[in-house]
Amino acid sequence: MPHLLVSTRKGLFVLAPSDAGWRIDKSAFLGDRVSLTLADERDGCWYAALDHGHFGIKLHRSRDQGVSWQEITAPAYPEKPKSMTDEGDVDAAGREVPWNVELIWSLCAGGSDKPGELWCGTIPGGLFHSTDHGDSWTLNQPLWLHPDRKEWFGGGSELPGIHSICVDPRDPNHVLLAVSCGGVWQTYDRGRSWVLTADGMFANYMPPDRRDDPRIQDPHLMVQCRTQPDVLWSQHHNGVFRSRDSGQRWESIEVPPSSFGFATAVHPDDPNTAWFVPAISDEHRVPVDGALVVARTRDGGEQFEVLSDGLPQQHAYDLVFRHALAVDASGARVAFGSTTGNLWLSEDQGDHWSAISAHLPPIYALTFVG
Amino acid sequence: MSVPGETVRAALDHVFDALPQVRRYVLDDQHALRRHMTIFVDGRQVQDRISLSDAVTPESEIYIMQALSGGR
Repeated sequence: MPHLLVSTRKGLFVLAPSDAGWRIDKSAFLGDRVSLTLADERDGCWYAALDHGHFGIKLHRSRDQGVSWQEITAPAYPEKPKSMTDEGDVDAAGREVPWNVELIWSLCAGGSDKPGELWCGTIPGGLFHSTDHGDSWTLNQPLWLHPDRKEWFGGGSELPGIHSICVDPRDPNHVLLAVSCGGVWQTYDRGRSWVLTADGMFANYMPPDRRDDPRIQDPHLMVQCRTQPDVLWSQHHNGVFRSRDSGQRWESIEVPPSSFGFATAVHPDDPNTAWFVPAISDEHRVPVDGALVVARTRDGGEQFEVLSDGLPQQHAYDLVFRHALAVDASGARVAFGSTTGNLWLSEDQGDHWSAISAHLPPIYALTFVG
Repeated sequence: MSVPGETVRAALDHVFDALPQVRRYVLDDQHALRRHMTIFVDGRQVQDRISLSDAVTPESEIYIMQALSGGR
């Protein structure tokens, strides 16, 4: 049976289809902030990342589709080396960078050749790797100690973070990351070395001589087409970008009614079909004219349809966070959830939307299973 | 729980040895007190949140609690 995992500020809600449509089947971690989930198709494990206000970040795993959960080891930084304690690990603004995981901001299944492999992106920007289903984690030192990391800065959070991880289905040694604000990074050797590939992205809000600097770009989210992995889409702070060559070059795409937003999703089998949920602008993070819409292209961004059937068109002030728009493995079913606890689902790629709930806590992330 | 130790750190280490899963709830990655946790020793908040070097006596009472700042 398919499921939709809804991560919210006050718990995890597991939805399943019923005769009367999609309904909440069960919940977990009620009252706790769940930043995101991963459903690993390789072995059926579910993972839930928690952010306790007091007790820090935690990670839980379920082997029985959410019936029971077990707390497992959460990624943690190693002890800061004495050389860095003395000299300070400071960013470009002169601020000390904490060696503490503040938030789990991305969690991704690794290669099909290594069933227990997981990648985890965090705030303040550390990438962690597990080869044992999350029982233990290692900080990726080549990226964390890369000199350009000190140029990263926070976007939406005080500290920078890795929110997008894409493992190339053709080659699990090839992993791509997107960082707010730190551009797009790729490894072709499973993390031993990294290259920055944000050429073509731009940030008009920066000082002119830093506008095109790939190290400071703010991709809000990056997604990869499953069957044509060279095609990547990114909703960026400055607009929408798409790459057809695995991130070597990014092209700007205009999206109606606004190119500002956080979320994007790409059809798993059609690289030309992608979805966005626009907001007015950085300064006004609400739908244009109070009308909530989804923008969909089917031709690689040449044209867009503005989809509104079933969505509120007056006085809607929903914002959709970067991980809160999801498409299922078939590419037909699309869902999104908002900061005001509304959840909508479409069985026809967004042509028609059904309101699933209007009473959830603020929604951080959606994950389809099955 | 009664534990030995002459500092908060030493006393807590005994607690964590007995209850390993508690360590990461109280301390951060660098073994400092988490930002939104607080510790009282005999009614006074600890001053050293990094090394936890505040002194304790065999009669001291240590309270570990959630700081109100961390609520959501």
